[in-house]
Amino acid sequence: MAELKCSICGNSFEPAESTALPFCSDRCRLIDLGRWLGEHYHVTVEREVPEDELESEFRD
Amino acid sequence: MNAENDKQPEEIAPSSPGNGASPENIESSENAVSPDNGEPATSESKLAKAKTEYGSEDLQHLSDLDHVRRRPAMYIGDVSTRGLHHLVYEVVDNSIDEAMAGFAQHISVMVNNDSSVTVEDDGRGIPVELHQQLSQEMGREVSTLEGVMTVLKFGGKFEKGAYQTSGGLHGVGVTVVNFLSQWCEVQVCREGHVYQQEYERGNPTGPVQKMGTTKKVGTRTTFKPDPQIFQNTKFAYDVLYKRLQELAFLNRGVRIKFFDERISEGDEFCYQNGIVEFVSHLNRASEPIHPDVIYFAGEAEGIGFEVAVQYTSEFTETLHSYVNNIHTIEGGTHVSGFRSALTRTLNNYGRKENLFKDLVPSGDDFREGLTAVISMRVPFPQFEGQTKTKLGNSEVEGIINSSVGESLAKYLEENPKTAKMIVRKGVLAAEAREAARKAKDLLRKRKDALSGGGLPGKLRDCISRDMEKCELYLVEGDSAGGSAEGGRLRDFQAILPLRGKIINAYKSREDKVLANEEVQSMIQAIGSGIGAEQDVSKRRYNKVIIMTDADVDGSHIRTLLLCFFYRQMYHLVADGHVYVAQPPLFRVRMKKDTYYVQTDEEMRNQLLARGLDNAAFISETGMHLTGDAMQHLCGTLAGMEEALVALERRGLSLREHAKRLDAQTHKLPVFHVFLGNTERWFSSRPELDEFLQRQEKDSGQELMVSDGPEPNDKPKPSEGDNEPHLHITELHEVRTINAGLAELNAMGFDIQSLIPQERTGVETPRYIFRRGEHETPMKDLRELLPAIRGAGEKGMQITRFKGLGEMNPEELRETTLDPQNRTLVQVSMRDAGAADEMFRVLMGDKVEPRREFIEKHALEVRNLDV
Repeated sequence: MAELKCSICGNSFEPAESTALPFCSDRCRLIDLGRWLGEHYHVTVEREVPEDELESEFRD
Repeated sequence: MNAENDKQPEEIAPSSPGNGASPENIESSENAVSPDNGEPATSESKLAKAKTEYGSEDLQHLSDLDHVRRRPAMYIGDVSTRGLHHLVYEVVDNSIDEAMAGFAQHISVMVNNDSSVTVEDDGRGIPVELHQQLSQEMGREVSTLEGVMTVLKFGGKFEKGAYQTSGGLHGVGVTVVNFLSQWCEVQVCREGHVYQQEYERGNPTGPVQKMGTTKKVGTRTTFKPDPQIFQNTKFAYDVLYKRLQELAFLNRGVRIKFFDERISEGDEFCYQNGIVEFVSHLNRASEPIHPDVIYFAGEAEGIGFEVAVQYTSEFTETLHSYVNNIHTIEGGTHVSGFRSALTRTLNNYGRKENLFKDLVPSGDDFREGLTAVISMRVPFPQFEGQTKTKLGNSEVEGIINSSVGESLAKYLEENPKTAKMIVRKGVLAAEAREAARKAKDLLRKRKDALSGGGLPGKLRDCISRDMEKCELYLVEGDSAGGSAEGGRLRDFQAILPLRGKIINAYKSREDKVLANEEVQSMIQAIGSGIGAEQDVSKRRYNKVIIMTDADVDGSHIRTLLLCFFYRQMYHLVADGHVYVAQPPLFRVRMKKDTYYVQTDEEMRNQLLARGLDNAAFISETGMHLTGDAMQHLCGTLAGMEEALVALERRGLSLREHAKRLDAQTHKLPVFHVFLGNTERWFSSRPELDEFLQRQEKDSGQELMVSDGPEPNDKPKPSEGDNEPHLHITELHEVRTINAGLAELNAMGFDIQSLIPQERTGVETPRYIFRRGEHETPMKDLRELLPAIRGAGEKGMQITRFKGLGEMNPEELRETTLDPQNRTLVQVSMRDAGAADEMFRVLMGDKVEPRREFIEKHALEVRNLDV
């Protein structure tokens, strides 16, 4: 398996050497959990002005 | 004393009457230590005898020797291995002082075959001439060398203040080494001659002898620790090696040669960059997070300091502190001053640069991964603590705190890249601490929950307890949860409704998170644990199915969920227990039939196929297409449909872009290049490369490729420097359009067929779509597909589900829940990884613009409030 890049610390690591996949270490996995529980992870939903002609033709 | 006599060595009398080193003296001193147990124990009667024999002027001298041998721990700490090795350091320290004062270049330390040690330097050599004060006190001729070797607290260093380091361990010098040695020999090369004196258990066996001529200078001391004093007199190679190397690091430029004759091993140490190299050495097996070792040095109020710092990716701290070359293992005021300066300065920088979100790192957080060496010169150090290796001078703390703080702040300003790496590391450490606390809380809550019924209140569990059969639907959407609850197969399907929580809402967008409670509910419901406590065998369901709306919102929630599972329930995903439901996007009613269509593409294709039935395409030029030919035209247009929309989304109209069509190849340019203020277009990579090479040749410098967003139509005038910035945008969709254009060309259409034309005064339509008797006039080919689909839609009643909630429970069961009809996509590691990747992009790319946006709006709000 190719090297992975840890999402938390950014270090590259050998997946076979980690017991905390997909992270490099327990600690980074813990930080990630903390971020989920702390509601730090969010996605931004962009609201576009409706303009999709393709959709409109399917509407009733 | 006759050391100055110009005689051959062999002619020098070994002893003279009245000399303190008479055989009797040696005898009495030797007997003063009981030989059987090695404990220094002096017989009072022997001492008394010595006093009467040698007179009161010798009392002080005898007391020194006696005191050192009776209480060696007061001088060298202890008589264990540590004290033993300390003897070597005491002698080496003298040589180092000589080297640091610029008089010696080389120091050599040799462990001999008989476990004696020889320390040699090429310094000035201990003075050998008669010492007036001492001779007067002793009532006989005493050489300075003899004074150094046999009189405590006798030496030149008292004058030098800054190097006097008597802390109960050091500064007692070579005298103590001599006193605690079975035998000792010192040879001084000075002023063209060799001088020598030998001692047994601290007593000279004769006066200083002049041995002959030499061109060398320096001092060579050989001693063998007294087994009557030390439990073990075997020197450890590794211990000496480490300390000598350390001394070489602490005293830059000093060359120390070390050789152990017993094992024929040795090394040579010399470090021009001193403690900077020490830090690099300490970090040799770690990964530094910034390339350079940070170094400061200074002096204030007579106290000199040197600090070298580098952070690594480790989590532990490696801090070595020294005062006057003494390793202050227990730290002290210099270390606490350094630590508070580090924390304060990094925090100030982080605040100023806006690097903290809600957590501000503590001092401990900034200690993670820190490698530091602090070396101090303190004129009058006070040592405290168990091992007397803790600096107590209170004035040092303030001096270090402010000096290091000032230097570090300056360094951070000048090296923002390194500064940000370090602060980021501290933030991560703070986060880890906070996360550990939250995880502990979570665990406690789970246990509480388990004891009191256990499952989240929102969960609509299934009846069966046969895990292999059970399924959990994670349902997102306002009313979808209700529909799902009504439509599920209760026996084995459980429903957990989830909602994305909006944390920031603006006009054009909103930020959504998985609320803490939702995360906890999922963990509880699924039951297989998270993080380090994953146990897939404890899962309560065999399939965990994510069911979200088929819109942008839904896809974002799905991304969040997949990312969470991948990261925190890795094994659940790896073992294939996570699925994504595929609810249909369309319901089609035709006469009495109802069926469902899953995707836009499928729907479009169906409509196209129906619309093409019995259809013809006619152009004003007389072209008449039906059947396969018409299908071929439609296929080509369908292939271009999305690409054309994508092009227009960039703000490029096809009409405009068509003007850039290459007359020979009939291709549109793919590369949009800004070079400084010049705008250029290229159809292929080789053309672009050729242009760039030519530019680099002309300007004689490499072009700067700027990464930011594409300049808005008009390139900004370059600021400050004249170096033109290069910006290349590749319009991927144009490749698809070009391929379509080639096909259209083959059918007899050029690019203008896709663009409405000025047609003043023309009555007949440009193109006509005919189906049966019905004709639809068209201005360009892009109108053809919608026209066909419109025709295909006739007689169908199509409903596009905007969300799962628009389906009634029966519909949801029929299409998405019932294993007989539903489509489930099993999430593979690659999919989950892709979600993680997408997540990184979604999160990462927009951090900066988002902050700007918030800051800008916060400002506006403030203005409104006034």
